[in-house]
Amino acid sequence: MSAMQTRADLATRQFFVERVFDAPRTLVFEAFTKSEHLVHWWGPKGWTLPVCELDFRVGGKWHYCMKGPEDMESWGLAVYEEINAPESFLYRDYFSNAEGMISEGMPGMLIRMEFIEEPGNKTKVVSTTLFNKAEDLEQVIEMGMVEGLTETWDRLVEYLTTR
Amino acid sequence: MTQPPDRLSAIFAALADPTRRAILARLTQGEATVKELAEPFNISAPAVTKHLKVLQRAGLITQGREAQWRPCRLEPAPLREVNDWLERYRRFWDESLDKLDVYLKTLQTNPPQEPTTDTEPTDPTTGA
Repeated sequence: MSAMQTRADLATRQFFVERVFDAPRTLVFEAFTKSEHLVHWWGPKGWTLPVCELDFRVGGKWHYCMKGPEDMESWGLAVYEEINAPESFLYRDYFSNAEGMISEGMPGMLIRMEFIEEPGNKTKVVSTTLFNKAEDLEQVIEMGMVEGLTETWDRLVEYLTTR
Repeated sequence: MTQPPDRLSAIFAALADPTRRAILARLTQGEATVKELAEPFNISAPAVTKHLKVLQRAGLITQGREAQWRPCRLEPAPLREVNDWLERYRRFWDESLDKLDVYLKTLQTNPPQEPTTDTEPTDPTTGA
């Protein structure tokens, strides 16, 4: 099991991820904000990041493509809204196409990344995802269903009792 | 059977309360009566009934018709949709951050260095 902590606050439609890394804050911050680093790790297991064009400034964009099993592709476009290096940044993440056009009617997610120094030259990363409206989340869920998502029922108990 | 357009709002509102989440967690183990549901939470049967009504409105549970027992049962479909998506999102982060952890360790053990004598010769085609 990983050391990652997650929490979903369904009332405020927020999803929290927290994890401590054994690395100094400046390095961890760079790992999230420089394409030369992101290509080495961003994306689920078995997925690569063949496209990663990143302009890290307020109003700048990050256009990326995650490639998964059987050449499955998932394009994303992020727009940076706030940057306080090396403490935090805020961006809006959208589904897009290869040309960087935001997919119409697809929901965006507002994601805040925070980097907190911990004793022993460690860094705690806290990611907070906010879904603006319930309808946004609903659409994302429906997309997940279309992709043939199936999960085990056991997870529910675990999920419901995490809080 | 049609779902109201704001069904997720109803689900989220229902899930916002810790007692209602605990009731749902209990019902994942099987049907239960109102009395059985009230016991572990140290609250009155009327209070539980109030929570059950909210859960019922969100389509998360149904209640039997038998006058005496009226057992409550979990209706998994709406919750499963929410949970499936959250699980998928959680896994995205979990697996990404696992990779980041490994990558950061590699970086700190073997930091990227300026070319040294034992690196490959520069590529003549790039003119570098």
